[in-house]
Amino acid sequence: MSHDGRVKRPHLERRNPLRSWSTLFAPPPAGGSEDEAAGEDAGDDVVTRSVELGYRVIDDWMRQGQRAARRLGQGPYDPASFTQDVQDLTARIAQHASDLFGLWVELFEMAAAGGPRGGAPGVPVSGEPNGASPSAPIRAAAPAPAPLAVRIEVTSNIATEVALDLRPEAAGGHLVAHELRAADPEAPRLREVEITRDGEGGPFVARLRVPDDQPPGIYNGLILDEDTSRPVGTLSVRVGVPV
Amino acid sequence: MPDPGQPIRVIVIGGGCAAMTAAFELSRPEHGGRYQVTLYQVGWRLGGKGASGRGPSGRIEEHGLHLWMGWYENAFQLMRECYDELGRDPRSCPLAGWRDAFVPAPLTGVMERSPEGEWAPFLSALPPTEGLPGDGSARGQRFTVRDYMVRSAALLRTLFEAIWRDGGPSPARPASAPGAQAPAASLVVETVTRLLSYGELASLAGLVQAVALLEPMLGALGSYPQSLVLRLLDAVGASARQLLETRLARDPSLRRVWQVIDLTLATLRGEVRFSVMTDPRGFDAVDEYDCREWLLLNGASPSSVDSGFVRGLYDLGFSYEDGDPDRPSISAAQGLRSMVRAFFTYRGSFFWRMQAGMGDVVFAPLYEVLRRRGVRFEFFHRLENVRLAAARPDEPPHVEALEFDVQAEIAAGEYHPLVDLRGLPCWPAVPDWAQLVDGGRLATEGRDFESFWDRRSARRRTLRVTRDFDLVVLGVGLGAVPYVCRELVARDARWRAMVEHVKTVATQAFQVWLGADARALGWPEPTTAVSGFVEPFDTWADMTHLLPREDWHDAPRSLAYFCSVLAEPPVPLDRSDPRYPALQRAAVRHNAVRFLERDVVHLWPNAQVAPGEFRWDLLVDPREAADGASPAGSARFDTQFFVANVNPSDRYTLSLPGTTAYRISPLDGTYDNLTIAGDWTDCGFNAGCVEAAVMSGRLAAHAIARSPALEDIVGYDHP
Amino acid sequence: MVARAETLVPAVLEEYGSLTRVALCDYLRPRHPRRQLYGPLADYPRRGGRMLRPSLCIATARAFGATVEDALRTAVALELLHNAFLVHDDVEDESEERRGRPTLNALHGPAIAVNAGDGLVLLGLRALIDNRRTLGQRLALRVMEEAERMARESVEGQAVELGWRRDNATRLDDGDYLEMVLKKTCWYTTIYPSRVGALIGMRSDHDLDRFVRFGFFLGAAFQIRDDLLNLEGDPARYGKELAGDLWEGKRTLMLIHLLREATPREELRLRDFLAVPRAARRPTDVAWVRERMDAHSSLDYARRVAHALAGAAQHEGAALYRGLPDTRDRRFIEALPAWVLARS
Repeated sequence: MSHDGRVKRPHLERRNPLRSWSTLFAPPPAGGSEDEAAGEDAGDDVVTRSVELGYRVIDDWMRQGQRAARRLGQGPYDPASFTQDVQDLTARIAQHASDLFGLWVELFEMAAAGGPRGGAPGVPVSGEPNGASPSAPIRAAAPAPAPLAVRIEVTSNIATEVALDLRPEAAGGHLVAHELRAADPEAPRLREVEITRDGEGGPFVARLRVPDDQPPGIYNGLILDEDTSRPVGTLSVRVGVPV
Repeated sequence: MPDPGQPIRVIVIGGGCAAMTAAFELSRPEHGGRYQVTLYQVGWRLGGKGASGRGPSGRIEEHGLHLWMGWYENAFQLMRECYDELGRDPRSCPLAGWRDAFVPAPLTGVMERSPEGEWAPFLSALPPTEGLPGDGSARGQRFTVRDYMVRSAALLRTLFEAIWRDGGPSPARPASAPGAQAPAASLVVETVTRLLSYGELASLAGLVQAVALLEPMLGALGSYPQSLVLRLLDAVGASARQLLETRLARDPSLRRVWQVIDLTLATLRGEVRFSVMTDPRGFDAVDEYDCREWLLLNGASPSSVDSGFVRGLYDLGFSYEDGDPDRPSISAAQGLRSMVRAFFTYRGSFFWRMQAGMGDVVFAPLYEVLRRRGVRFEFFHRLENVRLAAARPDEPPHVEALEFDVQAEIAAGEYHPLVDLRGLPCWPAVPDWAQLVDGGRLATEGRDFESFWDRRSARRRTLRVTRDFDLVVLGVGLGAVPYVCRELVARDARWRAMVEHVKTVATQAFQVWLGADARALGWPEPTTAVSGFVEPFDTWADMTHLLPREDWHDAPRSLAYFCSVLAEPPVPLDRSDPRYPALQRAAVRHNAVRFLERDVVHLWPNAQVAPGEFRWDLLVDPREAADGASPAGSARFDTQFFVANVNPSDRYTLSLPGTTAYRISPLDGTYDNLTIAGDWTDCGFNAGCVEAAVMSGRLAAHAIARSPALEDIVGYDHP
Repeated sequence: MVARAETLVPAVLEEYGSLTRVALCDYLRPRHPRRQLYGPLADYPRRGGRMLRPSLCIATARAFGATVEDALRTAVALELLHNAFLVHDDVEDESEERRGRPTLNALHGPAIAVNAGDGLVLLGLRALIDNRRTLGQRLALRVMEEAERMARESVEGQAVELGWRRDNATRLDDGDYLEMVLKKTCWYTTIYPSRVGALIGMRSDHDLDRFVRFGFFLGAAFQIRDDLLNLEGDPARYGKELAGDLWEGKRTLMLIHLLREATPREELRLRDFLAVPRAARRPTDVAWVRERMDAHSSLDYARRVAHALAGAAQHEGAALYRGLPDTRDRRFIEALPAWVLARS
């Protein structure tokens, strides 16, 4: 800012359109190689085409990355969203004893230590144990701030409590829900779970079927954004709510 | 020291495409409230040259004809983001999504006159292409002249093959199929030399083979001696003309194909001879030439250069100096740039049509989104002067104050400009007097807030830098600049040169609502927009699709828009004379009536009672009284809508030869708190159109916020 | 400009390289099992190298205001990862010589070599974890994310190239090559060091994508020059066996150019040459390929492309770093495109 405190426009590096790439990237002057170009124009061609091609490759690649990055959200990494990974992985890691793999445990200790546990809590939803008919769809509001319309449909003959936590980044993407697992590795997984979109831009619909013989317990699973393979939410189901 | 926590206050002056785009960019949520934008607009409605209103029976009243083209990447991106953010409810709003507001219009046409004086339309439906406009830069695409030249050569090949397919079995395809790896240069040279020296081009097979070889040659121009390439182009042209001569005589549609071939060959010759491919200025290398002149210089025949095709190009760009139809003039650089973008880079459809007035489709949604984001609007503010700080050696030049005339005071805080018409927010044709202090009196006085000549105001208001604002985006039309930037023009040689060389032209337009549809009127083809017709009113667009958006009790059967340039009056009249607008309006009326009486018969053979006598009863009066009392004869024309766009800010920006160098870029940093926005600036695509205005608005935002990145302004880095 | 590139860049490489090497030793302390793992894995890092990657990382960090200490462990991690890639490359290519000595697989057999490579990766991870003490938890995690990204891209790029060799791909174009190089080389040689350097220096990951273009062009020019050196360089100063790429059938830009320009008969012979395993290739065939490259000016072509890309790197670099204070580190980075072309 200036000495008199007046706001000024920022300095701009470039103030003109680039109308031609070939003259911008001519080979550096002598001191490099002694090659004779077949003709000055031939050199220009190779130069132009190489640079164009280079830009095309990199821009193409970046555009894919940007789309994914936008889904990931701006700003620094939020260790809080790491939590579900920690739960998942620590379960597996507990089996490894090797010295080198001690690294992984340290790594996740570090991650788990930072940030509060979990994201904003989802809204628990109870399903009525009833006869053969599936319970009616229940409208659940996602946590603030972005209104993310979500519907949960549970088909179950056992009392079931569902908690769904979706981050705002989920809004744009295609989501996939993985099977839900209990803490006990022996327990059968809840496989009939899916999350779809009700029409373009419509609300998310999480569907879940609980088999009649499902042992009671808490089952957790990740909701991933298909394009980026990043977790954007969690689904937690409590089967057999104790009286 | 300015408080880093406080937002930077940006004043945007103007409400057209450029100004609204700048406001849209600066108010993006990503900026986190860093910029507090206030937009100052004359009168009661936004839109500038794109403003529209709703008159009696909810009829749409425009400045003229606005066509959106499929290559308007930035403009469509803006619209798509706007509609997305707006999130209108499709159950209550007829134009909820952008696909409701814009529909593909692939059919385009020009009128052509036969040697016997007969007018006939030449319509073509350009094929739909992949993607939609506003999808963003196609996968890291870099625009290069070489690309365009190769595509032109491919186009030639397609045309030749089409001709020969019509006439008989097509000759065997040459060895290299399109898209395959380019043959080695030595092989190509060998083949071409052989074709040229043994007169093999005289045969169909040889000609098609030669044309096929153009692609690899143009793709690696540096590898071939220029003389060989030119010889090949010449030989192809000569041989084709010879082979087609006999067929051209009996088949008029073939003549049009030939004209395209001829123009394409001339363009390629010119691009080679003028080394456009390697010139750092890109197409601007030939900015000094008029487009027609340049084509002729490069071997196009006079008949091709006078084809409806080329006339349409000039008409759509209002390219007539001083509005004089005998002085068509457009820079060859801009002509080329327009052609290659329009034909080679359109997405979805060549044209896209708006499904309501431009104000309703573009500016109402933008207004709503901007307001929601916290942008403030000050209507009824007319900029009178941009005051510069006194020149001091230690202080860089900057804007010290902005002087506005407040045309009317708002009775209760904020002015609410939109009205609802069957679910669609629209701009009215007249201000809502009830919201204005002394509104009744102002109405009786006949205040015309949009007229340059109505200087009445409630009070003067001066805004000062640092106290009231920090940065300025000047988004007024070029025509207004000499009046409101007097100090800039006086003190800055570049501004002086700009207003002298970069010119504008007045335009005229009329709209008629008819009791018969085009078919009944005798138009044999499907309806669309056609250009290249007589002067004035060289362009006719059938806008019947808008009727459902109006509010007719007894709906007309069709709707027609006509427009063209408006010449400055033959006896130079003082532009500050308050009689000027009325006189020009009368001239437009006269032109329109005469057109309907004399010329429209070539479009609508059944619209005449007798030669020179138009069926005035066809016109639908929106205020038809219950007893049917309505003017008869040509006086009935007064019930229709017509306009002379003579307000300085409403004048259309021209791209005359040799004037690009005088344009100033929004990125220019001479004044450290001012940037400019408009299709008259050096915005990359230097012509009067929506896309140029949107690009310049984005550039102005970049000048202030360094965002959007220049690389994201599609088509800015372009030959 | 040329004079500066000649002295400035080597001087900085020397300085930051030594610092990295010293810090590296901390991670190579002998542990058990020694003969089967920790001995072999310490071999390559100790053989030396140009140290371009760690130097770029440190220089970028310093250019953005950090200290050497801030960036050092990340530089060490990168060098460890680089060596891991070299080990694995040599196994995959069945190479016999590296930096003037036999490769790990030649010395110990492929199994131990592969495991040693894995060990190097994990040591690199260790170094990144140690960042939390100097950079704090959040930034260290962020660096690790970048490293994961970079490692993934490299592995994917390597897979593409291996796929070409396995499937004997001969219809490749320059675009394919650049895409592969982007992933396999540029990410870990130039893009990632710039990104994490800036990340550490700015303590924020705002707009790291700007470095991708610069890194890409610089890395691509570097790789092409590297490939040229493989065919032309002085064997004493160049770290790999001369013409080793030809023996491997590596799809360099020159080879792709040759395949494109070759006459039908030449193409057939090339196709056969590339189809057989390395062991079945004869010196006369390799010499013939090299001679054909000269005949079709493939090396000239590649040289020109490298020039062009270095020019683009220069352009991107200038725009990227212009706002920074004029330090030796900044000048070093800006001089890299020219150095990349001039080195031998």
